[in-house]
Amino acid sequence: MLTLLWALPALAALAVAVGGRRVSWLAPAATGVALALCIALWPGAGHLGESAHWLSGPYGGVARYSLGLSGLSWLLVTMTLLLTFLCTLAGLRLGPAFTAWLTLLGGAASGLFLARDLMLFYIFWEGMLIPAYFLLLGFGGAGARQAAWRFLLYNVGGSVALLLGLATLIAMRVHMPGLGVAGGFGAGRHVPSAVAVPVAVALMIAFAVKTPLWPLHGWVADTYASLPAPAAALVAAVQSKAGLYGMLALLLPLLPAGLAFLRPVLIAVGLVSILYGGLCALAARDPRRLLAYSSVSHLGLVAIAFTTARASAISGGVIQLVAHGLFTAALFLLIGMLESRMGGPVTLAEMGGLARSAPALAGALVLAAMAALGLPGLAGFPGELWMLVGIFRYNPALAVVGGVALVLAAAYLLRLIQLVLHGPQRREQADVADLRAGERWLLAPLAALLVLIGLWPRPVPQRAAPAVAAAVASARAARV
Amino acid sequence: MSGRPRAGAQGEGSAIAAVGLSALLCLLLPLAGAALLALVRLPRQVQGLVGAGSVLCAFIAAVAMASAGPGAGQDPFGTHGALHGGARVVLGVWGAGGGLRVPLDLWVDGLSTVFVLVITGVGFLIHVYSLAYMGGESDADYGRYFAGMNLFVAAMLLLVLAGSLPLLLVGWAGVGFASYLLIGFWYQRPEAVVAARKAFLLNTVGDVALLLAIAVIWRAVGGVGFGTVLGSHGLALLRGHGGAATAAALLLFLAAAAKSAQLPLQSWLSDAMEGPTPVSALIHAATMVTAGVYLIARCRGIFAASPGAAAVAGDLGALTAAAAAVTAVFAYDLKRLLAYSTMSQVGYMIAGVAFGAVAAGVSHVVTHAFFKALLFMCAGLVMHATGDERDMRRYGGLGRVLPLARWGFLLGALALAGIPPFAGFWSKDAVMGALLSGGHLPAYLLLALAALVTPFYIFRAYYLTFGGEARGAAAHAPTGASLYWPTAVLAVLAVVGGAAAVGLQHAWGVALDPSSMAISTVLALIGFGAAWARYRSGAAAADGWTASPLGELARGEWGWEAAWQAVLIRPTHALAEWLWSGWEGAARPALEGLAAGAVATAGRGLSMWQSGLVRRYALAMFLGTAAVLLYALRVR
Repeated sequence: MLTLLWALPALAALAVAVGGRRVSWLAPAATGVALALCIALWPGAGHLGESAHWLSGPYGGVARYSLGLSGLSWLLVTMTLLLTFLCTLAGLRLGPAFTAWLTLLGGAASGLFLARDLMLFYIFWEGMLIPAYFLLLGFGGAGARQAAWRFLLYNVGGSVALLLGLATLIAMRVHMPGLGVAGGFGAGRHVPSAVAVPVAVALMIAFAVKTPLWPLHGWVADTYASLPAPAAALVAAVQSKAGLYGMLALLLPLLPAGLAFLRPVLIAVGLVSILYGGLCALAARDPRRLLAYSSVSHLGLVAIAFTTARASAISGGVIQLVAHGLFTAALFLLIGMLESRMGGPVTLAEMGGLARSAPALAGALVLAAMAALGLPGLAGFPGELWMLVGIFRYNPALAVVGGVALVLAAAYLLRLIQLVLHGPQRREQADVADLRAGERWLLAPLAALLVLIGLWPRPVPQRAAPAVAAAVASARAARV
Repeated sequence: MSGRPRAGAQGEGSAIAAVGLSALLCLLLPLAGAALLALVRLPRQVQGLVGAGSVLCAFIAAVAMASAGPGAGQDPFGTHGALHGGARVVLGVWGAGGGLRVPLDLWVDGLSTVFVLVITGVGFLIHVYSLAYMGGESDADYGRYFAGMNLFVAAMLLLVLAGSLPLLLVGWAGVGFASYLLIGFWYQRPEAVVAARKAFLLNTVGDVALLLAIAVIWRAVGGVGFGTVLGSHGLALLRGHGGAATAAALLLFLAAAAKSAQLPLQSWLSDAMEGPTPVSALIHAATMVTAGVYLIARCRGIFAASPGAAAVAGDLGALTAAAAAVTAVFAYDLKRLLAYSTMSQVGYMIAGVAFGAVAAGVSHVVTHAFFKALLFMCAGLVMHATGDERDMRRYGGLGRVLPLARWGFLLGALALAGIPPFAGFWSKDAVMGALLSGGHLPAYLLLALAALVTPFYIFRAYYLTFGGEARGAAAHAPTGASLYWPTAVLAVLAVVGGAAAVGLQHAWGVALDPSSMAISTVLALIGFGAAWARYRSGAAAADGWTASPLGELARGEWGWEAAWQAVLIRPTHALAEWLWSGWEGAARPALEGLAAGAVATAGRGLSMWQSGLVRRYALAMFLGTAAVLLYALRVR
């Protein structure tokens, strides 16, 4: 059953790759079915798991095919499938190859959040990388080769580090913990610190590349700027969560000694990410790079929250993972709609006054940007609240820097919406069409979720609570 | 969790249910109005009906809430400023995770009831005024305007009805957002765009301060609901937690300073006058800027626990009152003058509530809402009559064209000036009397200075606008009954509203101090006399002295803005620019080139990589995985 959640999109991707344009509709359809299935599994989250032997014989027990649906996995998989569904719909006109790679990316991401085996985790990790690379190479705009080269340089480096780290763990017969899925999984064995420290460093390099965190963020701006908007939306919204999810799923429960060793470094990296990303976003010349650096800033705070290993901060981080996925996807999709009207990539300097001719687009952009800057009442806020309150308890000064980041976020996101929407209208933009019905329906679920989670966030941390508790418990146990 | 209000800690079940239901209705009606106006394209008349009607219904619900619940006359505070006797309406849990549990509660007591009545009552009048005032806008903009106004009212009601600090913050930021939308309502004007951004950013500083205050309080007390934090047990914990009370109080004051335009975060309010004038009346005079007063009053116990922080807040409030009043003397722009006046009057309120004179400060919120909304409405009439002229040097003689605006402005000015028996006197003097008897002399002297200057600047504005001969701006009286009758209602309230103030003070156990009343009256009369002596002709020549360098400095807001620009804003942008072009643009790519070169050199021996076919990468990756795995297994 759980297999379907990643296999349906993956198989649809295969079918579209073989069958071409005539069957392109299969991709969103299959993803939609998987999404419906995932939503139907809501009551089962927390005690659904499936497992099958993978390698038999003398190597049995090293790698199993194990999936588990904890509340946390449910949140992330639902988000992934929803965004894959919407992004494939938005990108259908780009042809079957695009659709196939994009759907494969979504399927691999779902698999990653379900995997309860280290080997499987790695396979899905790579399964995300390859489609992203080919999307970039095949469909990127100007400068795609350069962007693809950068993407590979960083991400392959990260993958090698991840592989070394995971292989060491597998060799030591360490199993991936169930993360809030009851029964059927090992509790997660602690690794002696002599091994834990280098392994944690290796894993963290991979996670920092993927998130991305400073100073391993070099690939992100070019990638987000070159990918077609629906792909940029999915990569920025979903793939970026893989690294932080990895921290929560592997680093905290398995390698608490490594985390303790890395903590000062991670906090410094997080702090620099927050401020560096925020400042670069303030200076960015085009909307896509602005959003890329804003991701560095936002996710740096989540990394700090996870590093503190405090339940309140981690709860906030989890809410922010979901919220960030939703508003980032919405923002990239909106930028894509804008670009399709302007006939190509845009810089902020050449925009202005769009609210007059496209009020619905303007309203949607304001809503998404407000959610992104953490306006209380929208989805970006509860995560910030729980994170900052938890981080404050860990170290007040860190929370103050987090507060500075919020002001910076307000500054650069207001810059985005005001330069694009407000001010005197440019003559060449006077006849820009407003959102079409199809585009409205594409954005409606995202907008509704941004408002709903903002007004009543409770279900999100409630779902994630067992996984958070499990991660914190093992991190704590090691400290004693 | 149940959607129905349940009985809280205090009070009878059925009474609480009635209070909860009316409070909830009051909150949700304007919110529904905002959603409807924003999402559905309605005919113009229906837009106005929804916009004003939802606030009227909210007002009716507020009256029901006041009669079913503790009512405005209930003194909300017990010993040490702990909350006492409020009705807690339990709606469920907003969110919980890792020990931070945020209840979805409303809190109804005397304090919130007073604010709810003012917000919905004055809010309704301003919505009606807007019906005609915004009549020149296109249908789409008309709907957008009322959507923003309704959203504002809903957020403001949430702010004063919330039963926990995070929920209060949702309303708190919501009013900031609605204010941003409405300041930037005419978004094609560059000045409006800049003003909206400035207001939003300074308000965000306040939001962050409030968020950090929540963090301080949660760390010390372990909860965020009002019953937990502001009850006597929570306050004892806060006092016992070294420095927590002071830190929380200072952060709360910083939040209040941002929202209420007090030093050091005051400078957005005068620019906010770029918004439509009814917006200035509702948001930037009657309600939003008093949110800081509400916050400090609500957290009275925290300020009581830290006299040092309370003194900082009170003294800065008094300093704002004096400085803004002096600045107003030199203003040429009528709306800016009223904005400085608002900062000044809110300074009185902040000083009052911070020093513990909550009844006095809150009663000044009420009377100020009456007379300042009135003054703004009259200013709006003047602007409509003169084609949006705001410079008083181009007014003159408008009393003959706009008799109602003239009389309304006069009554509002008398109330603002603190001349008995008009409304402002009773509340303003209550603040000053409390400070005098409390021994807060520096703050009292600053407020006395402001009391001396206030009549002077407002009657200067009155004479320059309505007296003398016409000086340029052609005037014709605007039409539309809905412009006039809300103005008339507020004019009546500016005269008799003092009764509400005195009643509130009496119910909350505060008495006026006769000696302070005498001093205040004398100060007001001196200020008025000076203005009368200099300006009664209404001639422009009388105002020549404000063209001095001192006047220029005052109109430049004493260089405050330039200083912020030089110290913080420009360096931040320069740093960002340096990181962007120096580091991201040049240094990082160079390092990446080096790293790639190293990889290429290392891999030159392998034909696999030399082929340059990146497609083989995937295969290599899987083979590598298998190899490492097998090796690792063998080692074991």
